[in-house]
Amino acid sequence: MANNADIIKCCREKIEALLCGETPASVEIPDKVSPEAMELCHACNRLISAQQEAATFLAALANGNLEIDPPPRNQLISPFKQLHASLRHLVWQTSQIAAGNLEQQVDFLGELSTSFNKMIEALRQKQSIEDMLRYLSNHDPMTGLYNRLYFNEELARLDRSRQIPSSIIVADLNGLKQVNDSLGHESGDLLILAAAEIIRSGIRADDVAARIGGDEFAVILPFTRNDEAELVLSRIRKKEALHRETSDLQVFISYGLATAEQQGGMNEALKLADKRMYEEKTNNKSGMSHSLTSKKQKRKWRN
Amino acid sequence: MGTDSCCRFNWKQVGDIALGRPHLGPMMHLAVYRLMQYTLREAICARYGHDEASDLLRSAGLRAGEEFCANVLNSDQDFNGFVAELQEKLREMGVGILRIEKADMEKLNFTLTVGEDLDCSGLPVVGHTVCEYDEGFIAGVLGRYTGKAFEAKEVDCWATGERTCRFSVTLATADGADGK
Repeated sequence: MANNADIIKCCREKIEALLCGETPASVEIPDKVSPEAMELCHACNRLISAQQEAATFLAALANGNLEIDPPPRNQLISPFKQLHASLRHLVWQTSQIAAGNLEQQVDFLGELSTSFNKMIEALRQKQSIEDMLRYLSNHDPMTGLYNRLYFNEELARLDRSRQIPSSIIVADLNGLKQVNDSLGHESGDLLILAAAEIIRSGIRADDVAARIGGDEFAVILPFTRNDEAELVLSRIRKKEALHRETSDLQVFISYGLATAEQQGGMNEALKLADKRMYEEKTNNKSGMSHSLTSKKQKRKWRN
Repeated sequence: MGTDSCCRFNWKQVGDIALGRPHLGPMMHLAVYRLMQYTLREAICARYGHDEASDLLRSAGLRAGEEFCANVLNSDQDFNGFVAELQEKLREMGVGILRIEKADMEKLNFTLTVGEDLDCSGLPVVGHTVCEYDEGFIAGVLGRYTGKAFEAKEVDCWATGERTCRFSVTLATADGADGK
């Protein structure tokens, strides 16, 4: 029978070694030992084992290595397991933020939560400003349609792509100068806004409508055959006619349509659509009028 | 086996809490919820055995998750927005603190944790996981959102000695427990 006092001394030394940060070997349990001493040895060995596995995990955690899973069923390091889970979530959140997702928020991590959430808020504000600047750089501020810069970029992009055939509609507002000269620029602006709305309401979701000049508009119709583009143009013309019926503001627009059948043909299509628009404008010259007064008192404007 | 129409859960069964509890409001002590869940578990376990009890709790959680998603969450948003709203609602309603550790959007595999979990946080360590209802709930929420069947498996639990519940979520296999 092993001496209980020796076993107690051995276990005490092991525990003291643990408290000094050392990793002691397990207690060797003698063959003949009292049940109480046996239990003490086993408990001491469980403690040594738990500390050993905890040490590996904690060292990895201290070094920022979150890939090492915490040892299961180990109660010694419960708070560190919580921290480990929180840090893993933070890593995921950070990767999400890097990917542009600013929906993240950190809770229940004290000052880290506060700082992280402030950072997110700052990034949201920055993104909001960037979005605004991007919008302003791509859009005509008056009509909300795309601007000439965006139109040119889209035209070039389409030229490089294989979205063939693609079509272009060029639209020119008749009589804007006369309205500006006789009724003032505010009235002219109303005319431009009405024309923009007519075009916007007639096109499809994937079409790109832009104001490319003072009274000039253009629509890019990606991946659209000529006959399909004709249908879109017909719808725009109907919207225009309906607008004249329902509004005192008499808007007349001349259109030209062309289709690029081959890759790289968008600029040629644009020129052809422009030419056709001018032909239509010339043909319709005699019948154009605009009015900001009642239709019964139409004022005639030559275009 | 189908569900009798008289037993089919309907969100109206949650009731008009504001009308019904003008003084006590929507909150109650967590002990009451656990009292119900664990006595119910005991009753099912006594009649059908442990495994069947686990399956039934998982099935109930699945229905709860589906209905929760349909009636509380907005499914018409992208995944990030959806998760953010889910996190917010679970926190607001005191269900737990949902955190995502990993998300593979191509394979639709997720590792997520629920801290301060409604079902198990603070329980004595019993050596096995106890959050089958949560497993079903998570599968139900994601299933309703994506239109696909999911299986959530709890790999760590307060009751196994961890301090946060961790779930591995994958698309359900043909013979999976969920998505039946």
